[in-house]
Amino acid sequence: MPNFDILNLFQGIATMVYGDPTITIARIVLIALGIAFVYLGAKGTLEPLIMIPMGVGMASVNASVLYLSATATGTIFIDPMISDPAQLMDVLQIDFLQPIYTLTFSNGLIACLVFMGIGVITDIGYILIAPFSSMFIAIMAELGTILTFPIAVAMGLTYKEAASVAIIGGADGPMVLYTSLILAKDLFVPITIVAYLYLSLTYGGYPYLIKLCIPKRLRGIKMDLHDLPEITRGEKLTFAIITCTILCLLFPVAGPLFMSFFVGVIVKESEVTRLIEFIEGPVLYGSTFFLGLLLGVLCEANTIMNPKVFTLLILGMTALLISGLGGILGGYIMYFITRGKYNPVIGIAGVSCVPTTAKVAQKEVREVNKQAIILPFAMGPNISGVITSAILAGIYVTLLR
Amino acid sequence: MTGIFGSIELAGIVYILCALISFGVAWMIKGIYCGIRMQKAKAVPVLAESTGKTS
Repeated sequence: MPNFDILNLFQGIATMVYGDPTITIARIVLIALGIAFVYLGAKGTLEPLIMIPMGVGMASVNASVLYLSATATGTIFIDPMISDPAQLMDVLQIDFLQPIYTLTFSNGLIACLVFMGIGVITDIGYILIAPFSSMFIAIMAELGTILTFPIAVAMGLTYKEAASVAIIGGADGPMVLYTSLILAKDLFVPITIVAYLYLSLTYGGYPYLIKLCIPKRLRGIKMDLHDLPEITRGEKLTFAIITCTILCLLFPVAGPLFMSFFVGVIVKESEVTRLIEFIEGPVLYGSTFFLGLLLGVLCEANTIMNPKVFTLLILGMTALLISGLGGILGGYIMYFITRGKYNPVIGIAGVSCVPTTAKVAQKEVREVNKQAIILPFAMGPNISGVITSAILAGIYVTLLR
Repeated sequence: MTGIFGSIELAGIVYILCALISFGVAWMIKGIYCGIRMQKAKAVPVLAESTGKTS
């Protein structure tokens, strides 16, 4: 009878036992983290749409490491580091998620599809009502994107890498994906993972930031809804098509993202019901699901054990924290300009995680004053935030490419 | 532009550019909004005149 090693039957365990101890520990930690994400996502603490598929992907991929040859280990999920066309063709036929990664993720298509979906669920009427105050708050909420850039350079990143990680401060997942793809392809995977991880945490973290920075008395300020004029469909359509064209003209490099967002808006305002149902259902949820799953699968220990990951984790958190504080500062400035009529909590909605931050703002206000409705006012800065993030991404990419 | 000071300078330029363009977009939005509202205001009396109806 030949020598028989029972561990060879269970290669996931064998690769853990015989592998590099650092990688083994990282795999165990990532499996535990994946399970925690599923739990917290299902509980509603973290954004379930992203975190549930991401958690499942993370736990599965780190458990599924096997021997691909006598010396090499890997998985048959995905190989994000492959660039040689011949090898890519082989991998496309073996790794089951590789076609989705190569054809939708690494070229930014999935980001554009998510943006299209966001466009369809966004009512741009709110930005037409108060464009200057909305833009002002959105610019203030980009403070993290600006200040993180020199901090990242001071921590040893190159300008291109620093800009890619600084964009996390804009809290716009597709924008981070897009910028890092163009400016820092080597750090694309860890930056994107860090970004989506933190974007999901904004849901849980920003309420505490609001409570910490804004006293209860100011959080409960009621805003006058009678001031809101009615915006017609024609006005919204005119605004969408002109703004889209001008922004594409100014920043061709961010053109796909602008087009995707505004095509969603235009479809919504054109009231083409079947297209609306298609984009806000299968397109948005389908792309969000695969985005989450791919992000989870990309969290394989060997892929993300990059020495720069720890730096990225710190910088991602710094960017979002400064942006949140900047937004709140913008809210305070508006509060003083309007002599106390503006609820400063709206400032947090300038961080353009549409519509999460606007919903967080409304939730926080409602906790203090049940009759206060600020969501329509918060949606203006929220949508403006998308525009300013895209402008910033366009500027960084144009200047540093 | 290189080094930390270069990055601070660049960040400043990027922020100013972003603010200018964003306010430009806001100004354009206001322009579109006011333009459409003015067209509507002009259209109403013309329509009333042509149909002979007054509100």
